[in-house]
Amino acid sequence: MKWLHFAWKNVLRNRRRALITIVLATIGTAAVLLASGFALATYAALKENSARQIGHVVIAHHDYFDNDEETPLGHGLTDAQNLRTTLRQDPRIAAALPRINYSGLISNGEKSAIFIGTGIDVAGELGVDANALKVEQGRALAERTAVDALPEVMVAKDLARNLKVHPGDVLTLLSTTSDGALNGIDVQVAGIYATGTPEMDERAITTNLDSAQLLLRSSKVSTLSLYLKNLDEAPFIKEQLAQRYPELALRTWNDLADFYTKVHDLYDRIFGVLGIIIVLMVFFAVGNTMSMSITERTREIGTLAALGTARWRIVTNFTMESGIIGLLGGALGALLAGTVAQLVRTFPVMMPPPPGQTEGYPLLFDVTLPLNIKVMSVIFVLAVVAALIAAQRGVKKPIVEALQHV
Amino acid sequence: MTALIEIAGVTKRYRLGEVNVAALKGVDLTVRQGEFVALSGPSGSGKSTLLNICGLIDLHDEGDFRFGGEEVKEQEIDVLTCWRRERIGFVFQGFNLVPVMTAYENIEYPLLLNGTGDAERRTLVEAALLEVGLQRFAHHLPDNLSGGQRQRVAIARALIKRPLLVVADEPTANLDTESATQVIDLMHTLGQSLGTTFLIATHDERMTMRCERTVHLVDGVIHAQQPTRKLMAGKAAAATGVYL
Repeated sequence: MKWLHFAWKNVLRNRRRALITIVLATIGTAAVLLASGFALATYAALKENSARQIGHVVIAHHDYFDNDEETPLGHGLTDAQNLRTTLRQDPRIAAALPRINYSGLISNGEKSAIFIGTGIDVAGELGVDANALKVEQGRALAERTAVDALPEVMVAKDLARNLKVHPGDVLTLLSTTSDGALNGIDVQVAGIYATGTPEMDERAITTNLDSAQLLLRSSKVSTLSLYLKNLDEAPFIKEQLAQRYPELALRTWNDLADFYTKVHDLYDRIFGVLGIIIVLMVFFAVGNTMSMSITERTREIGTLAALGTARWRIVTNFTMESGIIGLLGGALGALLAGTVAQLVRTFPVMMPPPPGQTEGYPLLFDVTLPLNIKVMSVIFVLAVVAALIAAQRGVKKPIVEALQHV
Repeated sequence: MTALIEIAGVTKRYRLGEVNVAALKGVDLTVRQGEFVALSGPSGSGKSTLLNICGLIDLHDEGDFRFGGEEVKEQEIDVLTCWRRERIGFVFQGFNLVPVMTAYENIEYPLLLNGTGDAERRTLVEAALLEVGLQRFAHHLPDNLSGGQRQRVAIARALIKRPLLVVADEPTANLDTESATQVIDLMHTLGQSLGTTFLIATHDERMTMRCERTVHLVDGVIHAQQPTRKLMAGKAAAATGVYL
């Protein structure tokens, strides 16, 4: 404790310099924490979004992911309903949602456009995510339509604008059936929705699963997306199911979340480099402070050495001083980052839409306790290492020379 | 009394630019345990160099130097550090107190190094403060003490661990007459009572007069070495002769 007490007194010796160094360490810590917190919040949001859109584990025909289909649903699941019923008995699985991915032409009678369609189980999808379809006009697809009513469709906003359609209008969908023939059905627009990406807003439509099957003349589905009670169990459950159903292909959400993976890689690099630069700045600032302090105290080092203080003890004293600066800077930085993170939660700040997206997102910093501990530890260790290097040089001076230092 | 310092043919050279300067040229000196020895001589005569070598903060180039019967040159740096910690005290011309430590903490420092326990440390430091008459100034920082008070703290720091040797380099040079007298008295009294060997480089005749023996150095060589009483008597006789 005595040594720590002396170290603290030495930190206070040149208050202005110590304060500047602590402020630098504080800003550095806060910057690293906020950058990392932003990246973590982005990863978490993207992960949740991707997993919600794709499904936590996706089951398909064994050729579905690797080979192109020659005809729609050529690599579809044949007995999806039974499989779905079986899987839903597993208490770890919250939902199993069949989906059909298809494409074709959509026409209003005067104008046609290419569409990319998804056939869904509306009740199931809305059960998993009530906001699955971001309706801008009209309403979401009805779970069941009257026997004599037309199948319903939801049209993405830019495609709807292109075709000049509104809720209630009737359109025609044309596509190749699973047998390779051409088929068409009339559909009624239930609503207009936003997909979140400009490309999809120009092409996407969503129909009920049976409407898609009616158009494609098939009872198959493209995939069965499983939603788990615990997302983190996805790899484990995938492995278990792969053993139980070797004839099927299984993927976890992150196998299929290309956007998530790319953003993760990009942010890792950007924030990694940024973090290294900031941490180096803190390292050199603390190193410089300690070097100056050691140079100024050369005579004192000589005195302490003459009194029989071992070199390691002198070096330890300086590293303790630097450690205090690092700890204070780290703790204050964590406090600052925590305050900023709380402020943007209380007073939301919207970020502009990222490239390829149409919607902005709230700025969030996921400054977690493990992240705080990690960053504070890095700052502390760097401060100690900086002092260690500077002090090692300082104590090598012969005692007589050190005592004569002015 | 046994010899604490035995120096024979010790040489020390320094490199000043391109030139090798011999600070000590084959010095022979023996200091007995408990002896009070003054090193005198003009500036550049080698007093401080001899003092540094005896204090184990500098190493000689040639010759033999035995400290407490053990050859110094054969020892590792860590051993010399340990010897300084346990056996040698230092009093510097510029006091060399640690500015962030109070008088109490400066005196306590050598005991911390030795690993003395809290209670014993407190007792020893309080006794030392009493000995040097600075109880009231225990919690003053060196900046808030006068030169004489600072040097008394330095003396207490040097003696707190009961060393075999105290090395003092011009301990009164930065002090006014009154403070210098107090410091000289203090060193002498404590040295006598503790039986500590004192090796003091000094220009101060009052200090020299209190030492048992004076070693006079000129140009790195011991020019004269005799009991101070005799030296002073000789000086007095010379002065009387000049007067007559």
